[in-house]
Amino acid sequence: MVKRRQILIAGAIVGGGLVLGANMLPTNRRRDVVGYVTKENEHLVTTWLKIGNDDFVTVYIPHAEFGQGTSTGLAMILAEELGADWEKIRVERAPALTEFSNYAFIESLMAGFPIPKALNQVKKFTSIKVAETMRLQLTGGSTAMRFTGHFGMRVQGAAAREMLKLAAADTWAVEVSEITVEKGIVRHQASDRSTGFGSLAEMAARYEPPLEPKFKDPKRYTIVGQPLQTFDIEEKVKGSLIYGIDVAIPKMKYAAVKASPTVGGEVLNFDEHAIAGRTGYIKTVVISGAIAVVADSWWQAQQAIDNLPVTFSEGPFSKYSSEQVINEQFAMLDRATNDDDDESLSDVVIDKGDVVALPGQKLSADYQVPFETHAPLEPMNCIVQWHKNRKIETWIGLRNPLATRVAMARHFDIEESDIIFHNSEIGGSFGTRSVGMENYFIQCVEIAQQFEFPIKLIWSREQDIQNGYYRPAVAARLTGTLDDDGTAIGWQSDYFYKDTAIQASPAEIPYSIPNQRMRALAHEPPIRFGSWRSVNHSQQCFFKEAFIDELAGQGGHDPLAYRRKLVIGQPRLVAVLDRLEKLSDWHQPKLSRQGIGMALSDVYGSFLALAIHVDVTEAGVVHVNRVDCVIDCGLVINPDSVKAQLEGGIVWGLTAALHPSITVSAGRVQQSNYHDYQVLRMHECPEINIALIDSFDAPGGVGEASVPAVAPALVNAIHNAIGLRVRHLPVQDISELLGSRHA
Amino acid sequence: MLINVNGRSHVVLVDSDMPLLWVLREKLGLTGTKFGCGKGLCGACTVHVNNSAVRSCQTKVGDVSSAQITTIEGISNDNELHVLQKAWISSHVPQCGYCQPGQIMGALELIREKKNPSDEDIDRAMAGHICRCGTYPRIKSAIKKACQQRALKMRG
Repeated sequence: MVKRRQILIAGAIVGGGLVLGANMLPTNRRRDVVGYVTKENEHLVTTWLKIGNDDFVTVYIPHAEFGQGTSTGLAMILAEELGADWEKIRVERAPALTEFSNYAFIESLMAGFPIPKALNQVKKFTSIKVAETMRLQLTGGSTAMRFTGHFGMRVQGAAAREMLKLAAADTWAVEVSEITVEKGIVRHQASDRSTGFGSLAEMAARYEPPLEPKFKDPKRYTIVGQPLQTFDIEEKVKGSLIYGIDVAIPKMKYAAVKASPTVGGEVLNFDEHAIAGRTGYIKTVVISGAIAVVADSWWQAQQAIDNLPVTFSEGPFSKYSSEQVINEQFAMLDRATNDDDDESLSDVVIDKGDVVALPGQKLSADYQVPFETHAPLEPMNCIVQWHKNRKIETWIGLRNPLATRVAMARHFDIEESDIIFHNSEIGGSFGTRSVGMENYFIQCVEIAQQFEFPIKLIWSREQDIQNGYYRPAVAARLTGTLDDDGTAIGWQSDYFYKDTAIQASPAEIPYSIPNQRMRALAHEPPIRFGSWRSVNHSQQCFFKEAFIDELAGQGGHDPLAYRRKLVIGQPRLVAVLDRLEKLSDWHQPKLSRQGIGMALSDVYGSFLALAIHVDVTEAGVVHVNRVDCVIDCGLVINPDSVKAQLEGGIVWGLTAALHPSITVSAGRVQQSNYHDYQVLRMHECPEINIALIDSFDAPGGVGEASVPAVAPALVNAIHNAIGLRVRHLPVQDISELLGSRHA
Repeated sequence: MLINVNGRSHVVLVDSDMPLLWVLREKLGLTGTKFGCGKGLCGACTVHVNNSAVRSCQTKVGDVSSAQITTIEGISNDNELHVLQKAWISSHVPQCGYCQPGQIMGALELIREKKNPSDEDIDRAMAGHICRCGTYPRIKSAIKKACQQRALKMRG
């Protein structure tokens, strides 16, 4: 079970009311987290709640919202435990300011009240320093509900409830065990007395918050488990929600950029005279690896830069290509295969039994996946004001604003406190808009440093696609050993790249195959890399779920039954397989050139099985007609949000599996807009059916959960339809492969 | 020049070849109409010109100076959301929400033309509108729901 340690900090607020902060030690030492929480007693404050004397409960959400319904889900967890009236819950996004993440925030709320005893404890934790450790407002890795929600919000809500009960018990001179809290009313049944939260809140603040409050019995949940509507839905359909790209600051001017098409290229020369006479033109500015035009309006800036004669140096990587990446990787795989015991070629990640010496039928397959980009509908943008005293003030939508602040302070050699963030709403993230991907922010600062007014930089779609941080293209070689029945007894996987996280490698399989060896090879081509929805699960799940299918097929076994046998003893996996079998009509006979394929995935603490129904035309065009998906994600907070995320992940995964992706040639990304980087559209979207398994287990992640299973289920379906094994993506048009069939 | 947006006239001092999209967003502060691609490929910039859906990033403001322009801000009034917007809410359509104004403006043209659009009608009409969050199934169901609600209202 996951361990956690918690601190609760409570105090009274000016005018009456209670403020309560909960923090926790992160137990998932993901790469992003490790840098910020390294000392034994370090804690991250993640959530604050405020109960005012007007009965309203305000929840401060530290997570970025970019469509996942996080704020609503987190508020639901808190409201449930608290026993609040859902109609009296307000959500506010926590600002990414140091003031929020240190107790100065409490001070500002309390404005003059003496700091409660509980907060003095904070000062004692010199290694914590509440002010400084709250570096992290990370949204990502499908963690919001799992950690902040399950541990943060739940504890907060329960603790606040107990404090309100104590306050009521003392006020009414009754036993605290006779007090109930429900729908925002604190009641003593026996004496028929009741009151709202507001009148009790200030008194409640006097009590020590219980560190291990009693949680509500999930069977009695009335809020959690309901498909409630998200908070900002009305603004979204009215077009009144202000995204980063919509923000206007007085006196601001607009910038458009053209970056070097190759990594590492710089501006060689340009002819400003060609554009200086254009309406609205202000100035041309050379910045690192790019050129920018500043104008009165963004379109004027973009038109100018499109018409600006400019040449870039080739840079050191101008000969690089996608083919080269894959060829280099296969060459490394060949060396690792042929010099099997040369330990310098790879890191052995898993080594069970003796797979190399194992007798039996061997089956080997090579797989590869291409580069991928994000292309959210709101292109990268930000506003920066460079203040004379070397402070940066920025209006920007980020997944991880505080970590970006750390990184950018280092980059620009200024104090972290000299970067002021105004968080904006985000029009899609999918892995981007995060630390390590701030190239557009850096561009904007470099431009803004040349002016006294704020600069709003918007990337054109072309710049957005070509200057991104891509999901790596990787290859893998899998080898299986089968016994006489075709049962898998050995599994070898050689893949890229080295995992640095301490958590389980995404190459690991849930199957009880007694002899296993997995080796990770490192390859670092000169391409910008970044996290992409489901990160390395998006590649590894393709390899392992396509391969287990090949092993099943070799012995003529049904792929679903084959997997079920290999996960006996893991009831949650068996359950999703059983449910998928029914949901997908797995055994229903198919017409010619129709097929069904599946994939199994346990990622982010959730267990998922997905089936895809296809038909493949004679000409080799693949149609996806239906997708069925079963998930056990533990306790379901908001079933509608879960379904929405899974649907979205399926559409996302289908785009990547079906359509041509990002290719690099002569060091340049070849794609530029939605005509050559094609994404799934309405008419290509299949019927999608989702089933959620009822569970009271700890919530698992859902934001990325369905993506990894899509590509393997798709190629498995193609095989079921026409007997062809496809081992690389994309697959919408497999006419070339049909011309040279194998298997 | 003078343009008419959501029933009101505005004087805008812009070159006539500036796309309507940027006039709306920067000069009139109507940011509900979004920039997604600048090439008419994604549909996020969809507005209505004389009740026809157009891509405002591909429409020069000079060409629409005498037309009735309707943006997402203009389809509801203070008291009531449009039937499409209500259906979008009750079907829980938006995720990040960025593409939804364009989706709604595209759907609006469809449901004006067809009382009861089929799945194929919807696919055809909405194929030009990208959603990276993948809300397509819910958009489809919201369009149908809006038509049902509209029919009920007309009967009642």
